[in-house]
This record gives sequence, structure tokens and C-alpha cells, in this order.
Amino acid sequence: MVTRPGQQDSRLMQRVARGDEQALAELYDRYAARVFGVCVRILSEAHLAEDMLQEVFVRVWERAHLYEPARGSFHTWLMGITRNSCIDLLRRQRARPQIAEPPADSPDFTFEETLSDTASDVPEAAALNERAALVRRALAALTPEQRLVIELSYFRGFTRREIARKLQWPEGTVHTRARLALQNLRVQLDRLGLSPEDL
Amino acid sequence: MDEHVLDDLALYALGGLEADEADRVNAHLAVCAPCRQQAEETQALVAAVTAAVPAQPPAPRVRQALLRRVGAAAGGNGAVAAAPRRAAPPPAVARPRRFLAPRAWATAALVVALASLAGWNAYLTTQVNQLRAQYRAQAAAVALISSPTTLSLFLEGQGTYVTASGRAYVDPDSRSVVLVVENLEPLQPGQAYQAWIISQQGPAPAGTVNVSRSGWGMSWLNQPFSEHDRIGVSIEPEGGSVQPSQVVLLGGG
Repeated sequence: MVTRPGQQDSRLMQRVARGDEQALAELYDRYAARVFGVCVRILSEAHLAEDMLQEVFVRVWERAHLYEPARGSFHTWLMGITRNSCIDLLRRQRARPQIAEPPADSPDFTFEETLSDTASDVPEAAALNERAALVRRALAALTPEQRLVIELSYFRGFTRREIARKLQWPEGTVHTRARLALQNLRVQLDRLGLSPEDL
Repeated sequence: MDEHVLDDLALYALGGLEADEADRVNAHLAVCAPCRQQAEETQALVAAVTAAVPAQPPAPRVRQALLRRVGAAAGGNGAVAAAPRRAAPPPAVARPRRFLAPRAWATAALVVALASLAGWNAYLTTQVNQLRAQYRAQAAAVALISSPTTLSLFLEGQGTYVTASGRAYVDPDSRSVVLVVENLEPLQPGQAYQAWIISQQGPAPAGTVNVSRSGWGMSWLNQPFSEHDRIGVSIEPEGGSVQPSQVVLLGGG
């Protein structure tokens, strides 16, 4: 069952901006599993992901007054904070390479693997998992190259130049594949009756 | 004059632009409502990708720590009500004291406790010292790798290890070497990757290279490098060999 959480989130964020801890707790209960999943996905290590989960919601608390519902859903805003916070940490680790990182173009690297259906079977996660399955179907309809560009840029934090160097593609090709990937994704989500704002 | 940035919005939303490009897009979005609206839609689309990532319930302690932290920051007591599904812990039940321990027993218990604490303290001290040494070695390695005067040698995968590679970073003054390897296969139990400095006199063992499950590793070599030397990595029995057996990476010379 797809729900539209937008308005309720906006009201909660207004309360958070006024310093209402209970409102933050409600947002946490609603989104923590999704944020944590993304943190684990990007950082690969549960203890780092737990620290990051806390940091993300502290940032929500500190920046709540900057959130403008007219410019996008809370989910989009939250996922932007989550992704950027994780990638910042990942880039600091790359600059200080004591933590192992799998090479992006290694044979064992696949987007499908990282988005495989390993969701928890906790009952309250069922609706999330249903949405996740639909989005995975949409992603599966992209070409492997399009998925790779999404993976390397969004989940691994590589820039166009770095991706071009890693995959031996011209930079223009990376650019085009990124653009086509999102165009294609939008078409696929439409076909499945999903709007990004529903997610 | 600002040019529209619609063509860049996909990589912008994916976080794949270089910093200067992203700055240029941000500057344009600040003054161009149509591009800004398109950027917001693209960001929503990209955020939808995260919905494909399986949700994972975090440990309850994260919520508790967050609310404590936020409560402290807000100057309150941090006592935010837990979600209804979270059961309150059962109240502690006081157990009746059955008898008083004799003084000798208490003294012995105290001695044991102190000894345990001393042992634990020694263990922690060792751990901290090891971590400090590890940190110092890694910090020094990073400093060497990032120094503009450092010499760099590429190590190429040999034989069936064609996808593996490595890079040796040499300090031109001390001739010390940091070796970074990628894509090395996991080894069988009882095996190790061993580095070699190969001069005209032959190969000299230069220490083992710890490699992660993903095939990545970084080590200081324990032999100095000289001009025209080569550097290699081989698979050896655990504990190392005096001559390389199966060479998997080789470079320099």
C-alpha cells in the first residue's frame, strides 16, 4: 500500500523547528529504518552507519528551520542530508585509506547485488519493502551502464571525471548515461504508477 | 551571463559534478526559477532511488542516544516518550539478602576484583598503544602518499592476476616505501602475501602485506628502495619465504 506522507511530515518539521523533541522522535520512528538502510548501503559497516544515523537526525534537528516544503518533500530533503553526510565520510576515508573499499570496477561489483532483496522481515517494514521492490523493478529496466553511473555517483560519491577514469569512458559518455538513466527511471516509475513524491 | 543548467541536472542531483561545476549550477539555480524547479524534481527522482535500498531497523540504542543528545542540546532532560511499540523495561526486583559474607570472603573478592581491574587495565593499555602505533603508521603513510616529492611506481598484475594492481610510494630521502595493492584474491588459510625489493643482487623479503576481503591493502615495506630496484608481491606460506614463489604483482626497474 503506497501512502503519501508529505503533509504530516511538514507539520512534524514545523514542530521540530520550534524545538519539539517529540516531533523529532516521530520522524525518527518513521524514517530511521530507511536512513539506516542507506547508511549501511553507502558505508558498508554497521557501526559507522549507526553513528551516521544519529548524525543525520541531529542535522535534521539543527537545520529544521531551513526546510521549505514548497521546494520538495521531507523525504527528498532527508535523503539528501543522508547521502551527502555518508559520502563526505566516505571521501574522508578515501583520503585516509586505512579502511578497505572494494574497487568500483571489480568483477564482484554489481548494482543488483547491492540492491538485492535483503530487507528485514519485520512486519512494519512490509510497506517499505513493497515500495522497495517496485523501485528495484524500475531500476532493473535501466541498462547496466545507466545503473552503474547511478551507483558510482550517488552511492559511491565519484564524480564524472573519476567515473570516466575508472571505467575508461569519455566524460561526455558518463554525462549522457547519467541523464538517460534518470529519464529512463522516471519513465519506469510512471509505468509502475509511482511518483517520486510517493516514495 | 548565466546559461541554463538543465543538461547538468542529472549529474548535479546524483552528486557527480566536480566541485567547481556544482558551484556554477548552484549559482545559477539561485537566480533561475525554471531550472530550480527542474532541479527539485530531479532531486526527488534521485531520492526515490534510495527507496530501492532495503530498510533496516536500527538498534534501539541509537534512538535513545539521539534523544539524549537533542534533549541536552535543547536544555531539557531529553526524556522524549518512546514509541508505543517499545515496551518499557520491567522494574528491577529487589532480592532479599540471605546472609552477610564473612570479612575474609569480602577481602578475597576485593583482591580478585583489583587483580581483574589491573589485568583489564593492562589489556586496554596494550590495545591503545597498538592503535596509536597503527594510527601513526597510517598517518605517516598518508603523508608520504600525498607528498608532491614522493616517487610512485606502478605494479602490474602477473599471470592470472591480471586484474590486480599496486602502487609503491617511495620517500626520495629515506627510500622508505608504502605499498598499496588492489584487487588481490583472498588467500587460502596458511598463505600470505609477501612484498619483495628486487635488486641486481636478487629479491629481498620486505614484509607481508595484509589484504582485506575486498582485495585492498596498504603496508610499509621493511626494506629500503634503491634506484633501478623492482618491487614485487608474491604468495607465500604464512610466515614468509626467503625466495618468492608465485609472483602476482611486479613493477619498477
